[in-house]
Amino acid sequence: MRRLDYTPVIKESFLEKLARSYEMQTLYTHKILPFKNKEKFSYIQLVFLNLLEKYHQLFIDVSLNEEGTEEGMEEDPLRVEAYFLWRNKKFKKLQKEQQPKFDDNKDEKLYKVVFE
Amino acid sequence: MEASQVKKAKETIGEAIEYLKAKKLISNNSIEFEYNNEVYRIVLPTLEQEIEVENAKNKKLNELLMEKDEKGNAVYMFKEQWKEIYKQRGINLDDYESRLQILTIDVENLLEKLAQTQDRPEIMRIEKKIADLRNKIAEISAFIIEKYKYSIEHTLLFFSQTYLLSLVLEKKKGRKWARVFRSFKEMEKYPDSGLIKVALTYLGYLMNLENSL
Repeated sequence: MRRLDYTPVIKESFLEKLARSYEMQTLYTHKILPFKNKEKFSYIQLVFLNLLEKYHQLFIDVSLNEEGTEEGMEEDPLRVEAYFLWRNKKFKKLQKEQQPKFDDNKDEKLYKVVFE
Repeated sequence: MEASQVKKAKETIGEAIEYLKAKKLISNNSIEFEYNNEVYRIVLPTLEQEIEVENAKNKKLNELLMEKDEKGNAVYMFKEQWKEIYKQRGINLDDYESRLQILTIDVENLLEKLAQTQDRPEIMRIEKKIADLRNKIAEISAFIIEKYKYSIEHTLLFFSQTYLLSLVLEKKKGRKWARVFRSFKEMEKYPDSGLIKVALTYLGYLMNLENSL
């Protein structure tokens, strides 16, 4: 029988599948990392941590019925990617709009700090 | 059991194996694997090893720059020089890179569209378009990578990866781990390139080789 360990390439979607699994998400919610090492994370571990956070956020957004989310969308990595791209752009735009606007002609560039 | 059931069962087993494989890969900052009934592992390099790779890389760069053919021409060239040569032969790699950028923007626009639709047929249509564009991106990327295959940058990157591997690849002997190769030179002479290829893939999981070397 063919030994499976001879084929090291794993499909990225399986890493995503693992990250969104009930098992991993439960551990992550309780701030438990599924790693034996506590420091010096490998590249794949860092990628995985990013995915854990991504799906954690997605599940929160889905439960809050946020715009652009839908039950079961976590099964479709492309839709998840699309959602986060759009979400990040939306937040950036909002942040930009909320930034105080300064008039270049006036000396308003520094906040006034009052010391008591 | 019907053929469709067998197929389904195989798929389920395959998925479970992939799941376990992924779980094993992330479980530690060293990766153990089997090859020809022997157990190997790759560990993250120490600072000392990273410095050793850096020194070897500098030395190699010097060698590549100095190597000349019988006519006195440089044997190895930088990416930019290859780019010029291809341009003279009618292949403008800058054009290919621009096409990549345009396609990437197209994908991003489609992703934004996808995020704002919940209509199933529309989702499928956009996803198909994205998949097609990504295939095109992969094709063009592979074409560009192939053209730079013999550049100094590419040669140096491959050298650094293999040099690093010679330092961090270990084999289980009884209950202990020992380095497989005493030196890079010893690894170069190793007859089984299969082991090196498999180990390099695992090394890629441990470290982002393109950015860290």
